[in-house]
Amino acid sequence: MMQKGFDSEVFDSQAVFRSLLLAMANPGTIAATDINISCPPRLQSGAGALLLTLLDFETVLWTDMDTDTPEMQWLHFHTGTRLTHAPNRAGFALFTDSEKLMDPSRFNPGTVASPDISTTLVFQTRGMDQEHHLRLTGPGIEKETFIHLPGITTAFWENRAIMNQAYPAGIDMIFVHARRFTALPRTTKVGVC
Amino acid sequence: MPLSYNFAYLDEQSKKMIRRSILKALAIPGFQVPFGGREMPLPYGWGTGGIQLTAAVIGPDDRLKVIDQGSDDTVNAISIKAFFKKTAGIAITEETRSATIIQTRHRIPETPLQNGQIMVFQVPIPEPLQFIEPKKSQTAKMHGFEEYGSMHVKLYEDIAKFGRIATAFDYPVQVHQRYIMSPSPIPKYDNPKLHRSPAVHLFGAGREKRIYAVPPYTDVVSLDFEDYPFELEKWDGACAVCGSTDSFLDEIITDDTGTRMFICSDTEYCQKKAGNTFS
Ligand SMILES: [Zn+2]
Repeated sequence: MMQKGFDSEVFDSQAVFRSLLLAMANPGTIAATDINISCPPRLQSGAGALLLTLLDFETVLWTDMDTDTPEMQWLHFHTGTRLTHAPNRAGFALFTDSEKLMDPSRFNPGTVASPDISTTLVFQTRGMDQEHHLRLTGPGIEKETFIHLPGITTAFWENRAIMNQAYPAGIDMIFVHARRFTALPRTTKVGVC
Repeated sequence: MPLSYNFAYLDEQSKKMIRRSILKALAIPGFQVPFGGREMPLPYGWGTGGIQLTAAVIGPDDRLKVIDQGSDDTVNAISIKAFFKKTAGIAITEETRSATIIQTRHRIPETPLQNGQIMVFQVPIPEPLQFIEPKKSQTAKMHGFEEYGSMHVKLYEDIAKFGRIATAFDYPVQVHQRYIMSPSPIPKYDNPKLHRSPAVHLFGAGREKRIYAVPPYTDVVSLDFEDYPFELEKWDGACAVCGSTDSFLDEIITDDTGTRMFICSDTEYCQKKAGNTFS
């Protein structure tokens, strides 16, 4: 039997979205959702909650998992999202395994006139804390803030920095660990300490 | 509450669409994100863009403040509050400090905003370049390639004609050193409040179906020239009620002979200040 999604679609998705809004507005702060959903095993509950909140039959999702996995069937069942194998056609992309991390420039950064038609990446990470590994500056950050996202390589951050030179085109990212998450919009400058 | 309609009226599908647009708007400060979604049961001009944003963001724990021309008690503000009370059972407050969401037309409160608070602006005309270039396809390109020369020419023509930049409301700003943005019809007096504000500022245009945003701690600079710097309105007097000399004042004619006085446009700020002074 299919595992259930939100207890209350209306109120749970509002609560999750509100934390995500504040996370996107304040890059590098760690937000948490207290909603515990029992998604299939390879989806962390925070990632499940975010994807239920964002996806519907109008979204196109790319993922590093096979499309016939229980995780993808669960997402499709609860949201109706379409799936794609082409990274540059995805509105959302989900990485469940940081071993399979790809150069973010393989996704769609939008165009100069329509930078909003870009892919938003959702990563499940092995951990998340505010140790001084990455120094973040940019809109939403008063002076600077620090974050540590184990498993995301220095090369990945270098590729991201190169890609974001095409601003306003660019890729926004959400990192999830268990029920906690943090967002790095394209405007956030990331320095590896 | 009989639920013949959804919480906060808007259907979940429209909320999702608007929520995705809000995230994009925060990621690209000042860029106008197009959005779809259901029509609201209010005529344009009543702030449908702002209402749609508030409906997509608001939850049962929120405290909503609604202001119009700085006042909590105008017809427009009262109807919007009644709408969210009826459709979402939302707690209403007039106190800027305790509000979690502030929907506004024409003003930013005088009381400084805090991180975590969300301002929602009702926007009639989202495109600051519309008076120069009426075609949407063209203005999209102008924003895309940062072709903002004609905007500066228009402001400079003002100076040639009037000796100053005559725009007093909806005075254009540049956000995060990139997009030129309409701050909505707030007085230019309020523009500096947007600069590196700790709050989230969301702008919604219902008729044009555009959402844009200024995240916290983001540079917002009013356009000007080295020889004609941006200047704020100044008043000769103080507020007749609270004595404030550093708030936006409305001029009021008090009798048939044309006697004038000044009163704070932000009624909550004024009442609070008057209370503190006299009690
Ligand atoms: Zn006053």
